[in-house]
Amino acid sequence: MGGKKTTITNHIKRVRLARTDLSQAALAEKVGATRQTIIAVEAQKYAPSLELAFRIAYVLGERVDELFVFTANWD
Amino acid sequence: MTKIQDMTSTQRHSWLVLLADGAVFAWFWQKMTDGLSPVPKVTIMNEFGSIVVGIIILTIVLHVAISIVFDLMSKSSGKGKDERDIAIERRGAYWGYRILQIGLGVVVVGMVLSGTFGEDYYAPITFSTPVQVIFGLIVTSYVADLVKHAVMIHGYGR
Repeated sequence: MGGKKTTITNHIKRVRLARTDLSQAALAEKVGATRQTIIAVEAQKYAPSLELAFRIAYVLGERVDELFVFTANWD
Repeated sequence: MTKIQDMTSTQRHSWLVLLADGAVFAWFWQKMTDGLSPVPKVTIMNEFGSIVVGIIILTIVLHVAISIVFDLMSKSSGKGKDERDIAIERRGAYWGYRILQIGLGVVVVGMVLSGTFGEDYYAPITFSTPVQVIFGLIVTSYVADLVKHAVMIHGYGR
């Protein structure tokens, strides 16, 4: 958008494995997404919508801004 | 490449439609032209009509069968599309629509040039007869659909 590069990364995999015993499939089921979407989000290949981000954060018991990192290179 | 069991229902559906439409299109192309030449060899309307009816029936039967199977499968598993499936489908539809626009543009411009300049219009593809026009429209529609599903499959692989 307008030459402004931004990236959204996340710590979902780390938090999921450290704090819960949820598999990718179980997390997908709880948040109402497919397992393939959770795989893509964890691999930083897909940035989820705000709603899905909140759902994942809610299920993992983490704040959204702790789970997702927004980086902007706007020189 | 993603294994079949790791694909989402939409990804599998897209693969199946791509293969089915690709096979039907290959059959249509082989019936209508010589090799890779884009000029239709069939010029008699009756013969062309029977090929077109064949491709329409084949397409409807295949699409209905694939849709019924996937509808039943997604109902029984309880897993439908999610937001990523919808985003990928939207991107595929965008590129398919662009190809459709370009194809229609080529056909319309070709018709206008063929009509305006008549015998003086020399081009590899002309649209001066109903067979050529309908052939151009069918090819456009199939290529657009194939591009849509190819873009979707590429989107899942990213």
